[in-house]
Amino acid sequence: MSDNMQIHVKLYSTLKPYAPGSEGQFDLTLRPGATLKEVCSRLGIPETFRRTALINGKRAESDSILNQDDILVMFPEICGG
Amino acid sequence: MYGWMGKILRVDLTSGVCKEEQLDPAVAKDYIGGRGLGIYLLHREGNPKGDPLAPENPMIMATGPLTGTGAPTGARYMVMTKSPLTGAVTCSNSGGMFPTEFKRTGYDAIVFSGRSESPVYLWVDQGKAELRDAAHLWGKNTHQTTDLLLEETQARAKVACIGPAGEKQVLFASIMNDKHRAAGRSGVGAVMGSKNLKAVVVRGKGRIPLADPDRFKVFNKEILDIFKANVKETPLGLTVNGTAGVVMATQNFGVLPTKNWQQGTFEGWEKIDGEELTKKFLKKNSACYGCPIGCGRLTRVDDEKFKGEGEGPEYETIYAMGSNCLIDNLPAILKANYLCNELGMDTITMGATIACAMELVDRGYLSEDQVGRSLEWGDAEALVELTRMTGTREGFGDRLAQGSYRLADSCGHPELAPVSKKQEFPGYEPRGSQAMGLAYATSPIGGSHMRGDPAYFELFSVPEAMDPHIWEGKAKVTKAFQDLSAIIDSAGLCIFFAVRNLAAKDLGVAPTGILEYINAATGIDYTLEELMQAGERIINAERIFLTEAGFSRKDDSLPDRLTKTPAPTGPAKGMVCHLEEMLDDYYKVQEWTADGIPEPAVIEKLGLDKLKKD
Repeated sequence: MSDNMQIHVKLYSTLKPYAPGSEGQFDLTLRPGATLKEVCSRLGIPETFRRTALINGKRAESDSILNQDDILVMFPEICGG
Repeated sequence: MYGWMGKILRVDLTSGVCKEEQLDPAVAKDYIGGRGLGIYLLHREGNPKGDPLAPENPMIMATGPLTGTGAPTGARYMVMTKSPLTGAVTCSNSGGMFPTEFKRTGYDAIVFSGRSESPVYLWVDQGKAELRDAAHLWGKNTHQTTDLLLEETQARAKVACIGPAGEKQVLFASIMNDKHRAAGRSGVGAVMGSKNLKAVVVRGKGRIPLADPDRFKVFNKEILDIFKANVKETPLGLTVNGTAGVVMATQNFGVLPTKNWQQGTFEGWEKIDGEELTKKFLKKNSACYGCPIGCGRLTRVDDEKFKGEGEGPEYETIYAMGSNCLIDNLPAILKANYLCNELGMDTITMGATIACAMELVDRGYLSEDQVGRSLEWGDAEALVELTRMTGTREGFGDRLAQGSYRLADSCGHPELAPVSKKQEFPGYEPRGSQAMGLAYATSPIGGSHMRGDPAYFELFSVPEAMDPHIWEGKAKVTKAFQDLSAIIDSAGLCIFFAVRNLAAKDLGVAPTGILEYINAATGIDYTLEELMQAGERIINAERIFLTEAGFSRKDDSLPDRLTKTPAPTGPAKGMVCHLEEMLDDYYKVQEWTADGIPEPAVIEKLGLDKLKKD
């Protein structure tokens, strides 16, 4: 299956180092039907790294499927007040 | 007693007499300490219908059995009283170093009653307490006051004090301890000012006795080892960027309150987020006593225009003074933050009141003549100038000093004030985080999430990731968090550590870790059920105080903007907060009537029928 689906990725805070280049934002080409788990694996983000992922503003889990032009945002678990 | 020191200090400011009494072990067991002990004492000595700024309103400072024991983040105390901003109960919380020092003087709590004829401060040197003249301190800001007091008592003492804002009874005046830490909300500083009490200075060298020091040490090591292992896997955002790191999260969830709560996304967010703060203004982290997180920020602005230094800003400050005002000028936010700390005012209410004023001007309900200057969205200089003027109640600052509700109401438009029970909300938009709306509306202190923070499950995935757009099923988990927060606040711990590390995620955040710490420290053999019931008892005791003060369902409210106007931008676009539906569920779960009044059955179950009897 060829990689011909493109999504836009934004990595923040301590996840930024996993982005190619120096900006946390980049485009990624994937196979159609790729899951969040595959994206993390492609970027080298360990499964043990606790993070929040949003696809188009909606919370996503490891088995969430990505679609053409989706915006994927990931940041480490945080808290505050 | 163990864990607790076993004594309460009573300070009658009218007569000038200080005396001590024993802490009743049965009360300590049922109400734990801190917030719980505070509401118990407030019920017995205060008046739910009284004037919060009258001498009859008692002000209670209370630590918990875990404060100062070495449990991670066991460094907190609560200030409990009736609030002049809301008319409801308030339990304002702070950390730093003062609470531990206070407890080491030998007292679990101090109850202030009456009013002094002239300004005084309380000096507690080990177990000895005396009121001293504070006329020479009146008018000084919190930093100057602290420095002077350390000179005239002991260099290693710790100070909690009010600034000019508390003296002038700004309705959201705070009590600052260790200069930079705030018991911020609901005007506890105004109550202190109304009593002519300028400061509390403590020097304590007492040991805090533990019932089973070995058991405590073993468990403590276990907890810290797990914590360190977790941090190795996932560096803690709080440590790296402080709470300011939350800006990025709320923006991406579309719940960053912007333009007086008109929407949940802000274009300029990256200019005011945690990374920017760390990159440009952070000098170093700071931590409360015994805290392994170190979320505090020591910062400095060198830019001539907004020059200053101190601690902060926290996320809440950045939302209230930043996105909420359409201000993307971080140095200005830092400066206004420093001013709030020096003058002694709550940053959330300050920022939210200025944003409300901006909208009132924008809509023509308030004129620039009345304000005394221009006040457009995004005006960073106005933020700083008006903050300064509010702290001393100068000019328009006198009106801002009453908070957003009274300001908007005086202009004929109370619906524009972002409040519940007249207190302004913290930085999470309920149209995009449903349970947050429920928490705000049912918090016993008015607009607040700290008495049960749904951000944990709506946004931060603790105990599990929930969909923030769904309102069904949120009542039960909101109640669980509220009960947990009552236990954390009463034990003397900090939410930032306790929620993630001391509560069992698979049991709906049951306080299993807190249970072990408390039992090892106090020797009381609480069962998990008993401890959880204590949390319920405290929540219901607060609710009863509110009921007696005249509050009911009608006051468990949110502005129409949040329940009727669909969010215009972001992931929550088109949504409103379904408060009424959640309230129906919530009252059932609480065993309260449909009007939000605790039923006799739950009052009896929790022993609250004995609350006022001797």
